[in-house]
Amino acid sequence: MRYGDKGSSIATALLLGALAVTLAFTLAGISFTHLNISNRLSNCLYARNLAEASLNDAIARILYSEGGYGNTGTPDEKTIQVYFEGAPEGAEGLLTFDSGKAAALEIAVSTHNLENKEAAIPGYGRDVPPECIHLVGTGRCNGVVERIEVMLAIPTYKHAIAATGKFTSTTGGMEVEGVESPEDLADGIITEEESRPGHIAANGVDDDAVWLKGTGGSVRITGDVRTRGRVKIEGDVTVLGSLLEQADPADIPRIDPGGYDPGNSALPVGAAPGDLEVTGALRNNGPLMNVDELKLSGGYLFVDGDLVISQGIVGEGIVIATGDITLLGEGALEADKAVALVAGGNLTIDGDGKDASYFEGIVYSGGERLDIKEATVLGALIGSGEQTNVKAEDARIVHADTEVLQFEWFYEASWGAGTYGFNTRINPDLWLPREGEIRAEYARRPGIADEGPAWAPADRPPWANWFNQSTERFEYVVYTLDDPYEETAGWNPPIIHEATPPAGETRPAIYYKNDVGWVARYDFDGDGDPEEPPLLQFTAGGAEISRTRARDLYTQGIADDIAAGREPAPYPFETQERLGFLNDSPHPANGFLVDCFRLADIIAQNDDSIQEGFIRFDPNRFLQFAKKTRIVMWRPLQ
Amino acid sequence: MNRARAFTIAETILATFILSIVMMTLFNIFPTSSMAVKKAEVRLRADNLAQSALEEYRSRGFDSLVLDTIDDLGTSEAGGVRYSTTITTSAGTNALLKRLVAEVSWEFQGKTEQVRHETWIADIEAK
Repeated sequence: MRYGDKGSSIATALLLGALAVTLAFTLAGISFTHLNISNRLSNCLYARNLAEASLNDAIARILYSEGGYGNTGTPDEKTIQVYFEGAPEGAEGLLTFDSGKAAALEIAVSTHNLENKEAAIPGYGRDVPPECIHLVGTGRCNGVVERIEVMLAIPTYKHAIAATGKFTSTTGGMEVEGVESPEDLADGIITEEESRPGHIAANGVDDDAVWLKGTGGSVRITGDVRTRGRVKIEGDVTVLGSLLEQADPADIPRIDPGGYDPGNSALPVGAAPGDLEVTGALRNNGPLMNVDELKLSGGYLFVDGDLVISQGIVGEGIVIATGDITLLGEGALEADKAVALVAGGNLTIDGDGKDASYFEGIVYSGGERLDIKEATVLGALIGSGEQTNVKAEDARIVHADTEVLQFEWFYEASWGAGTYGFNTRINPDLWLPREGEIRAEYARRPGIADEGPAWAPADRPPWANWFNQSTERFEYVVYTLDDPYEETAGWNPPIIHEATPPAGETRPAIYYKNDVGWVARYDFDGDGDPEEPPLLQFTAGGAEISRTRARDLYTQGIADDIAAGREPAPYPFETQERLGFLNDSPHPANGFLVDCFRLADIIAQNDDSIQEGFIRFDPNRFLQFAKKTRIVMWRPLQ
Repeated sequence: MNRARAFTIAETILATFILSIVMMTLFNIFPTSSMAVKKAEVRLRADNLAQSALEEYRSRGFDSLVLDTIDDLGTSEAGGVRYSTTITTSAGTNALLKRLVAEVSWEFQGKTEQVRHETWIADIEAK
């Protein structure tokens, strides 16, 4: 008994002790587990945020470089490493397009397949479709690894016909097709092997947003028919693609004809009464209603108003009118490679038949209607006003890639007593940036966002800045480059202009070249006096805006829209031709200040009289890259 | 018999001693453990608040995020703890990138604690 009592006493104590210890350990264990889970969740959040940050950084760089980032460059340039201030030690976000770098960092590689228009290529864990970029972002934090994959799609413009309003074809005989190369249409016949989809898009919302009627001749469409509304079909209509009703609106390029105003260019025009031959750039100050035949000999006709041509267009060149364009009559439309027929208003083409009337390039209307009848267009038909209705009757519209939308051209430029240099490079990128920060990229090395400015503060060239109302920031453009190149490790942008503004000169000015050399001229009255440099100044949206009439010197895009009472258009980002520069010196507070403009590019400097360049009306260039880029997949990766 | 009694006393003393040590340890561990759990909960809540604030700002869209601003989202109370949240918007590495930093601070046991979460947003529309 006593032994039993003794035993029970110590056993009880030990048992209680053991229970207590167990309880203590359990509590400690629970606490530890709780803390561990809590820390892990916190680390997961950091890792996920880091992975997302690396992805967003990559997306921003891709948009910034218009798809270039990740495609070329050194392994380091193709790799993004992100760190957060205050994050645990060693936490980082990683993304790379370089397989060697990916192996070294033990992360998945991202795949760039944007240039490839046809085939998918193998990416990390999946095939990457053409015109896509596959991104894999990795976040690491205290042993927690989070991976997220994103698929970006940047489709090229593929519509044979696009309308912001309705599309109608009710007389039959319409054909909408596509080819890979213009040669495929050379004999007028597109074989089955040569045939590509020709798509139609109409952003109208009505039940007959697309109305296809195949009575009086069959209607054949080799691609998709897409609309925000519905498709109405009657008679013999064949659609080889899909009918996409109540779809998202299609991205349709918008072109501002005013941006192509050649200004006071008294350039050679060989005009016979009734007929007009344009060999250079011609600006008609007002409507031009009495042209019989327009012959484009590598020429460029800009009409500030309506244009009526009664006997068609022949040759190669560009026709732009701020008003309506009407091509009527008995004469043939035989533009070999007209590249662009752009009307700020309505556009009417009444040809002699699909085989007789032929146009190659963009046919564009910013008005209420675009009508085409009995003609063939190889290129694209675009109605992109507020709500432009497009109508095609017995017409053949064949979509082709950008090859048909570009041609080289040369013309002799002269103005006044001296030689007046124009930049002949006309493309949508002539708009100066709406966001100057973007241009800061190009003042460095293209594609490299993280490097410092190319110039030390003391070496900075003259620059221009203005106050952007939308971003409420000063933005900058460099016009004069005085040999910054050696400092930029191989980046060699074209030298634009070597003149330097006089010391202390801050007035708006144009630099132009005469017999003596580069001369700066100033104009404050904006009276359009041809004896003066074509510089205009006006106020819009509370900001002073300067604009020249010379092409390539258009310093604003927002102001025109504001002045016209419309929403500012999403002009495309600039290309490397435009040099921006982030200048951190003190800024004037007067909203807009321009030190100098450039009036010629490197071509003009090499030759006093003959200008050359290329003109391209690729619809893709009129669609802002960031706006047409789509995230088609965003998901965690195991 | 005497040995048996002596053992009983010794055992009792030993048992009491053991139990005392164990209970003291337990009593020490319990509040520490409880506090650690509480602290972790508070921290987790702060993480969630920061993350929610980031998500809310992210959902507003790129254009509506004004650079170089610090938004005070005010205070919220949960579990007897008052949290203060701020969001800072700043420029990223280029104009198409913005950085959002959410900072949540709170008082716990007389000390000010803080978590900081960050996310970057590119100028691309979700489509």
